[in-house]
Amino acid sequence: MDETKDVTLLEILDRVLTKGVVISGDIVISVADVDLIYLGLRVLLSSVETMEKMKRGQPVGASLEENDL
Amino acid sequence: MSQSQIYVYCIINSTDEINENVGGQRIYSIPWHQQAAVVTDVEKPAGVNVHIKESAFTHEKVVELLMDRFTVLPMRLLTLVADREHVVTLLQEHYADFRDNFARLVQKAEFGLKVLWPAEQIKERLSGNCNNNAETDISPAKLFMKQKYAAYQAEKAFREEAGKYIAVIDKFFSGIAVEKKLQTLPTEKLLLNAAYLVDKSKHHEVKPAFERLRGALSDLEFQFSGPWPPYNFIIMGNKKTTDVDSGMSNIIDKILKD
Repeated sequence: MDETKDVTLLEILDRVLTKGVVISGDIVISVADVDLIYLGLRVLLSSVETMEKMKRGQPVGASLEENDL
Repeated sequence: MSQSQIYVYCIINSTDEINENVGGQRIYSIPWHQQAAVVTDVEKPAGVNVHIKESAFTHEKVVELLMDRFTVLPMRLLTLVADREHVVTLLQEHYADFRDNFARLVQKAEFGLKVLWPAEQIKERLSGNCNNNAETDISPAKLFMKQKYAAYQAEKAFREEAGKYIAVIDKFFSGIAVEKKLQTLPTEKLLLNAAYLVDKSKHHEVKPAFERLRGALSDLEFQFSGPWPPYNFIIMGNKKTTDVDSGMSNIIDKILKD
């Protein structure tokens, strides 16, 4: 994974894991339990501070790699 | 053996039929009144083979695809329900919350800003400012208390310095954003993790503001992103987020420490 994708993934995870519409209760089947997320993430997300290595100021986002502001 | 479930990507403020193909998966909508859930059918995942990276990218891709056409309320990653009937129940139960969010978030998107600062240098500079009166004859108990107090003072000064920087940074977006979420020092080096909600009419002002900011504070590192669906600005009146948020924070903390 190149650096831009790494940052993009980090930005996406920062949002999709804990934010957005969070429904609790019986309707939603909880797949995103701690172990599953942890297993997937530990491989991918080294640290927020890896951003120090990234190109300064480059906008990122799933749709922004080619189509920024 | 597998059993089909429904993955919910987002809620939209329209009952227009959605029929898209993303990564070989059929994305469709389940309407209820003026709202609809955008979903796909998935096989029930077995074991731990949930690919977070792929799931996250696909989730975001679908939401961004719809964001161009509708006001979207993105769901948290891996929101699964048993069947269509449960999706309709979800729409019914949260109709008022969704309606209120649509009203607030129409024509708006989120922009992200992460700011890294040279924490070690800042600490050194601040400790240099402290007046250390070296006492030669001091009891161990007094020395302990003195060290504790010095550490407290250093932490306080560090946080105050962070606050000064953040106040300056925030000013660059104050006339542009309608709402903001500022997280101060989530880690020692990450000075600020900010999300700004910006009306579409002002999207073109965000990047110039960011460029001015970067020019003004060239000793800091910036990561700017957007426009995003408004993940940080969803307010659910009857949701219970505390357990989820703290659980996820713990996971991320663990990962960052690895």
